[in-house]
Amino acid sequence: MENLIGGFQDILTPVNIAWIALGVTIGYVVGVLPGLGKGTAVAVAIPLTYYISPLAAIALLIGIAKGSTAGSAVSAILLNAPGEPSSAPTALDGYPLARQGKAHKALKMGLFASVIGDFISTLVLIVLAAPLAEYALLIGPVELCAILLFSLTFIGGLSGSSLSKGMIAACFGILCSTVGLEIETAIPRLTFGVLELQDGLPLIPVAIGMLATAEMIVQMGNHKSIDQQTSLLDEGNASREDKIVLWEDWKYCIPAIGRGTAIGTVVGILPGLGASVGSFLSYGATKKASKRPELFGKGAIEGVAAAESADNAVVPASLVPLFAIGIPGSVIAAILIAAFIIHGVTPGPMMFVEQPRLVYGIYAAMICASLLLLCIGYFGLRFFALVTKVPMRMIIPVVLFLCAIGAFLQGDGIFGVMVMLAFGVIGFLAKKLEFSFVTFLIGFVIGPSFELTFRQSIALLNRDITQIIDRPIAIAFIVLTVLTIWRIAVANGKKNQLAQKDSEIPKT
Amino acid sequence: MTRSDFISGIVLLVFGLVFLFVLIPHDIEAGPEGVLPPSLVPNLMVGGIALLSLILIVKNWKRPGGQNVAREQSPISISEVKAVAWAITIIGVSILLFLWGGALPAATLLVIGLMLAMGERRLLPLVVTPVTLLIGAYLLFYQLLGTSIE
Repeated sequence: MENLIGGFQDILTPVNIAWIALGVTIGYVVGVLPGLGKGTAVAVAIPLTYYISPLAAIALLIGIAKGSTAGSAVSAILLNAPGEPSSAPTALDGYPLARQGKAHKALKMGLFASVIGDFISTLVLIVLAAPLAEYALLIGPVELCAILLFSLTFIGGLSGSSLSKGMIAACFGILCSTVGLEIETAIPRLTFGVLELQDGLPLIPVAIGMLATAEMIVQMGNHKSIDQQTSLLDEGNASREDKIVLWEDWKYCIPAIGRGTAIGTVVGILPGLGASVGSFLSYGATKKASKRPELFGKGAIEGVAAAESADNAVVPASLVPLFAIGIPGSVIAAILIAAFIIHGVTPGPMMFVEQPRLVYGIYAAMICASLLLLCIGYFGLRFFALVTKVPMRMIIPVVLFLCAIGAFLQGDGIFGVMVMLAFGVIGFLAKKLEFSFVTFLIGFVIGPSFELTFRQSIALLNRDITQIIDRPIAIAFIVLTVLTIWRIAVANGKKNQLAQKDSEIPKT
Repeated sequence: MTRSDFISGIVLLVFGLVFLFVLIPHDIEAGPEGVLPPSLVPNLMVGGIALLSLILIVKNWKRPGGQNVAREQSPISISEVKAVAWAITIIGVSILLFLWGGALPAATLLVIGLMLAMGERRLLPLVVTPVTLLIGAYLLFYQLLGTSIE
């Protein structure tokens, strides 16, 4: 508690509050734009943080992540074009509500549900991360290697359409992380004589390329249809009752928000599931529990509340594995690792020992960001709704310009822009061919830790795998890895059989 | 399962095998005696990619000759292929322009080129957008944050 009060003392300065407010506003604006997600927003914003204090930098980035998660509901409700996939279930009821002239009601409920989900999930992070980190400090390289292997398998299996493709993405991510001088012998690996590659592939240009540049290329190919939807946007003449959230609406939404927050928090803690799984699960569970399921898809306000609360609860909860064991469970966590490293902080259990004040400052910043999200979202709703009208042919060049600056600043000059472009094309192909770019990025980020612990494990076990018998935690995670592969393979097999049967049924 | 999975499986298998048997042995030296070879993890990863690609190919083996293949749409549309080509060309030329003439012409080309490629033909946005962006970037990075892009 003392540390948390100290954290609040650090964060409650006009400058830090201004950074969080700026982050939430930028995030909201980016989230509102169709197709632009929190990953893009945070990756592009990292260069802005080089010259500010670590706490302000992380606070800014967390503000952006929270703002963009909440903001993506705006385009989902107004345009039926979710800012990111996790807001797709929001559009199922939000858009029909907007067509009925209740856009403001849906937007406000989306915001309230977002803030509640986000706030409670932040409290869960604060309560859970420190005790878990204490346990994490007790584990050695062999156990950590097994945990990393399990995490990658779990993420690879669940974050894409196929286990093989997810695992290929993970292997490719680790392979890319091995480029550069080898840690033990300083022998160059896969540099092909390029001097700049001796330091390895720079993380920020790779992340900007895979997330932002790739997404912009996809949007470039589809911008006409998005602009067409924007031009159809009509606010109509709504009555006061249709613009505000009534007590009757709250009666339906409170259970949905509670359920959504719980689902989103659990999904967030489990590495790799992601916000989309959380929001769809929450939407499905609320529809199942509802006394009026026939309204879902036609404008049930609790559908918006369920999806948004879960979507926003995922973000803080996904930082639990990052803070406790140093493993990024989501793409936001993976990008935040880069920000932590830039500012001289190594995420993981040692943070609680070496820099407790910073950790609790981050917690305080997250709580402040939740409250600012409510204020900025509520009072800026009209402005954010206008942002959806900006045509994509204006937005994409601006975002790509910012991507290039970000890659340049953190990627050894123009070499960073080249890396960004290369990974932008790879990311585009990964998106279109459904190879999980999230798994790739997480593999790339944890690759050096994986290699280090793998080498240490071989040395500790004297190159004799049977010696692992003395390490029950490592065995448990290896068994979990095998079970995960088996379970996902069986589930995917059944899914494919069903899909094949469906395709064989002749269409009349 | 789709034809695109089958084709990407073949491409990745070739990628894995080329790395495994040509590029890694050629590019990564053997380490000193008694130390684990520096190529250990890269070899494991490309081996994994090759094996998993093989699984992907086998799982989709029957599909290319199957009846539904003709109905399968390509996951990448023509407009997306054009977008990739435009992005590579404009960013690539901007990189060359940067090396030759510095940040200002490169950034101007990047913004105006992308706007033109996406169909913007109005003079006012074509002038105002890059000017605003460049002034904004100058104020933010050179004046406020104290860095430079050169």
